[in-house]
Amino acid sequence: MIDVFALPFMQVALVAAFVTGLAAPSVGTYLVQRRLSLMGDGIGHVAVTGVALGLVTGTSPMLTAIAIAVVGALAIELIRATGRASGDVALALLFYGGIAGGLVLASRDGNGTASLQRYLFGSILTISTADLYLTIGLAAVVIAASVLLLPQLFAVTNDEDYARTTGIAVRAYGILIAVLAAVTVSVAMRTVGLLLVSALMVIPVATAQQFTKGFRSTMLAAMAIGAAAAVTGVAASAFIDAPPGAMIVLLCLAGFLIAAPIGLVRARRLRARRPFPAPVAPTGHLPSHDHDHVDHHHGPNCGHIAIEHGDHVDYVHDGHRHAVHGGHYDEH
Amino acid sequence: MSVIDIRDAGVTIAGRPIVRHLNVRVEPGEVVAVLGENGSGKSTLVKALLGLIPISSGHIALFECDLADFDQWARIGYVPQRQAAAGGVPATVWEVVASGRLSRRGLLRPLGRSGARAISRALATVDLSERARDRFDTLSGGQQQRALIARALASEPELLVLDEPNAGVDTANQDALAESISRLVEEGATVVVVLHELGPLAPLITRTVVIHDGIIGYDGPPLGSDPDGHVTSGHHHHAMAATPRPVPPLQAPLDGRTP
Repeated sequence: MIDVFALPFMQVALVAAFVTGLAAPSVGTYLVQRRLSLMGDGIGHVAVTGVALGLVTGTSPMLTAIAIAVVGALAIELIRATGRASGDVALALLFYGGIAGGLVLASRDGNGTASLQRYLFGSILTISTADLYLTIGLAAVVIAASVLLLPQLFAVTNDEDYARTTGIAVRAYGILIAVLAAVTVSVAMRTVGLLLVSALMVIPVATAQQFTKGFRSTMLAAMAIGAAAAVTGVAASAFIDAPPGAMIVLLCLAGFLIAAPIGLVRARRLRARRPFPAPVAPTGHLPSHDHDHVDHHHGPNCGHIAIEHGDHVDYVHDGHRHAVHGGHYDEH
Repeated sequence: MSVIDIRDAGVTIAGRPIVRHLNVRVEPGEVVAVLGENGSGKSTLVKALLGLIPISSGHIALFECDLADFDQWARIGYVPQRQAAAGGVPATVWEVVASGRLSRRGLLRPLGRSGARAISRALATVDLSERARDRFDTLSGGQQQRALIARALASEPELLVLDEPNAGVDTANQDALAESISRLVEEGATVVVVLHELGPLAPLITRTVVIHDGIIGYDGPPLGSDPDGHVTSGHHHHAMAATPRPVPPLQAPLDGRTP
């Protein structure tokens, strides 16, 4: 059991999985915030052409993938920023053009589409030391940009018009997010594969927000979840002899399935405590008769849900909203 | 010194001239209500004023600086209309308000003590200090609107621009909102507020600009208002006669709402 982790290629794989597991959800947080969860998937499709270009020309597929993915991501950002109604059709053209172009290009290569497989579904156990350094370097850049520029990137993805009135370069930050996403996809294609990379960018974010309240805490939790899933996935795949990329994604999904019920319960509780709209005009009062309040006094910690209602608090129990009025309770 | 100087400005959207030949000058300390029917161009004007929509003709200057060269964004606090759809990731009230501090915060610089203090003060001004760590989307509509005002206040602005702050806000929250804005006015802020109805803000207003079909229909002292905050037609026509209009409208500005 210990022997497996002593193997050099296994150590390389674990390090690569760890850094991509950290980087992918950090950019993914901004994509989810923009409701562009599938952008990673789209970039992955476009990157197929980049990989094929690398295979045919005999250059590093990772570098050609980055180049083509950046071009694709910028095109997607341009379509998004101009807000064209026909935007989703344009995205479809880009995605399928990318994957079809890649398959045709790859067929010109001697090995044909067989070598493309390694990039479509990941091949983390065959990463060379040189590629590992490239992976670590690029992942570090992505993580640094995502974390250090969080205030600016949050403002831009949260409310673009408002961000513009704070004087920050909204267009440039939009482009930065697109480039970071493209680099992440290209880096993660060796770990989880181009077809599954979006899962590692998005699912940890969805999982984290089941129990977080803030943007920063969501991003940090998602990065921890992504790194844990990636490392565990690679280790598990070694023992049961399964494809590591798919294992990583299944573990991410398992994490989400565990967190989702917790989030559901929490969302219900938050909804129950939302303030009632303040009364528009005094509606006269309706003293509560159907309950005996002799033994129970509503107040903080009385056990009933207290909800803001204009300038006072209603206590909710058994389908009634009771508000203190003098010595008795009113129905509200 | 003028805070806002709009000269002969026009805005054209998709080939259709929306705002035309508009002239408005706002001096420090003024509280200007921009009124008008839906589609009159009042929100378009405000967006153009902040550079969110390009102007097709004329000039706009903020603090005596042409809008194209303007970079002192910390002096401006913008409160947009509340968005119906939130982002896909939760954010705390504090995080949303803190994004208003970006105009005073250098790249890769920590927030600093003065920044943290300004954010706390902004939250206190709108009475949301206790909700700072809560999720923004768990606030009621009126509280969200107040949080957006706090965001605008975080940069300690001299000019506050609000776009329909009372839309979808219940009366109790409208009163709270008016209370927050009156505190700022006392501190000497200049305020431009786009409104559909004056509501509880009426006592604060020092000047009213009525936009009708993209041109100024009235610009002068606040119009008389009845207890509901509706502009009364009698005062309105009287006041209008005193002010020359750049382009005569085909219809009196508020004909639609005359009882």
